[in-house]
Amino acid sequence: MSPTPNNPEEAEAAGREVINDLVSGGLCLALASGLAVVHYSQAGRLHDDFNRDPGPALLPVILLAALALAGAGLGLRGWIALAKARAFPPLALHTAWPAGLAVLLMASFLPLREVIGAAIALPLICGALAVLAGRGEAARWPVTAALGEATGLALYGLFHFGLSVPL
Amino acid sequence: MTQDLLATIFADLFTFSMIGLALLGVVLGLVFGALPGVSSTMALAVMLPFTYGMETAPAMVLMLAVFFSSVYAGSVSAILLNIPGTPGAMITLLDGHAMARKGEAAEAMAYALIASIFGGIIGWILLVALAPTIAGYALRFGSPEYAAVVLFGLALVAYASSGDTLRGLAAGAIGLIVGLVGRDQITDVPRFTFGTADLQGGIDIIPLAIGLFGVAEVLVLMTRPKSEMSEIPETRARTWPRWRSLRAELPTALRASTIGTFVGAIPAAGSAVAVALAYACEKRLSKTPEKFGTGLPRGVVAPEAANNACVGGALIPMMTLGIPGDSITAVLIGVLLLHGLRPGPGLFESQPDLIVTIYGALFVAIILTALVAGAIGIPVYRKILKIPQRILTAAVLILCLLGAYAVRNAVVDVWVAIFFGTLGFAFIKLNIPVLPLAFGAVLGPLLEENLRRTLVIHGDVGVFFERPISLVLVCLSFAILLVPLALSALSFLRRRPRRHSGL
Repeated sequence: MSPTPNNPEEAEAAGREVINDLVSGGLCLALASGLAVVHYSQAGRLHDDFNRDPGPALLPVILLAALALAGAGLGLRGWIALAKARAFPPLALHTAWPAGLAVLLMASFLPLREVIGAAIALPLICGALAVLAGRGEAARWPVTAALGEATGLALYGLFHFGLSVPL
Repeated sequence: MTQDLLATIFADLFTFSMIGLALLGVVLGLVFGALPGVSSTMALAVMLPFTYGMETAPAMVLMLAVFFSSVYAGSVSAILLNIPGTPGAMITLLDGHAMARKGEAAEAMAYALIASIFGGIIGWILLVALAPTIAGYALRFGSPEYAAVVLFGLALVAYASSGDTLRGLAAGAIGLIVGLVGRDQITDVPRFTFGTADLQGGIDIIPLAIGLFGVAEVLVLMTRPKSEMSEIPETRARTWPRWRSLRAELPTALRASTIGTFVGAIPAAGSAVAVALAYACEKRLSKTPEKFGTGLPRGVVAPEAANNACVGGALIPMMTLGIPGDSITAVLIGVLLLHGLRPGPGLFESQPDLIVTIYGALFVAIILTALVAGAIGIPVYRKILKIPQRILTAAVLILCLLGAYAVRNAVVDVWVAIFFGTLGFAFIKLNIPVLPLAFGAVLGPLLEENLRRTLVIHGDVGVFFERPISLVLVCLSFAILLVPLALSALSFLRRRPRRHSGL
């Protein structure tokens, strides 16, 4: 990261990296502390003494410490850069909505499969994903949806009948 | 060895079913690799479910064919559309697309194909020559050396994946923790299972790879603004350079292939580094470096030879040490694990036939890529490039879902793929390298097993510093991780007084 960016693009990229550092540092610290709570609160033989074998608890502790250190380092680096910088590009979270919707559509497969069966659920989801991926393109959405549904049905057939996967 | 190899190639691989599989893999690899946004890793992740019902040898034949041909095909969209089909083709577009804009697209494609095949063969020769020696040496490793090798591989990955050691370290630590999920193999104690029965058996590497390299990449593709494709003038369907012109490029191809193989063998260095190095090397050696980027055949030959030589290079650490050379070989390790085989030096002793089959399969894939890609011309590629991205995106996501489910017909694997797809997407958006996470998940159990075995046998960690190989590797690992951090801290401290004094 250049300390004094020369042009607006560089400044924006540097600002984005500061935000990335802060967010990833925070996430690493949160993950490390959350998993540490799970690890230390686990009952049973996890924390027993296994003589010369360091036991199943050692490596998780080392890794959680490494994760926390990396998170602290990232957070500190971001915080120092934040203190020095003047302006930042806004958080562009809104640009991630198609990905979020695609994840929701994929996640809906399992509950939908229970209700309407995989043979109907898969074409429906594939059609919806195709419409989502083709947003803003010149193609008409009913055609895209139909093509997507046909593709979903073909894939269902390939896995269910071709590869004998019990869907 | 040579006799075994030839016998395997002719007797086992030149059967109707094997050639058919390899041909199918080559064709699919060419289609996937040519499409912008579909990387070779994504192509392999998508093809994974089709290998579940196969024996190990046909599965590797199919996957290696997809691997090699998709790596070559990345140059197609680089030359024709000015968009690299795969990360390794990002340098090819500089001169390749410049040639295409001058009406020499067919020439550029021919140079790319010939250089790719040449690079692939050099990488293959070095793989066949070096892998048995390295494996033979690695067979003498004890648990301290093996733990040190794994640590060294992880350190390299954390450092080389993005150039940002802190982010690489964080991703590697998360990956290693993922590798520990489930019942401990020695004491049978559950770890990070959150009380659920589904996670007791651990997180399977295949749905994880499908999520990280399939789902995540497609999600990124969905949020990317539609790129402007550069139209190129009509050109001949295919043409071949003259022998004299080809002979002039031979030293370039040889240098680039050697660079590609050795850089490819460094865990996580990958094809992007290899092509940049090969291109920079040729530019430096050239008497007219200013002509690079203006449509010079050498600017196509160097990156393409290096890119495809990486395939053989990346297989060297995977086969000899069980350490993936890149994300694609991490998926290939998943294929071997699925068939109950752990790659590493032991494989050379227990499955020598499979090793020879892998060598042969890669060779057959190279030859078939040359034949198929040589036969189809630019009009066919233009048709491939016209496949609607929206249908492809939806199909890849559905394939990822079904592929994850089909590993064990388990619902939990679908959730694993979706979870790691979302995590991978977040990592890419936050500029955190994904590769250390996958490497950590693959290597975590191996590291723990050898670390604990060392401590049980030798009593304390001092043994790592008493044995020469482990001493060197552990010191190198710490140097790789700590030196960049120390240097950045030093440069920060040096800048501070200057700024305070107003300079």
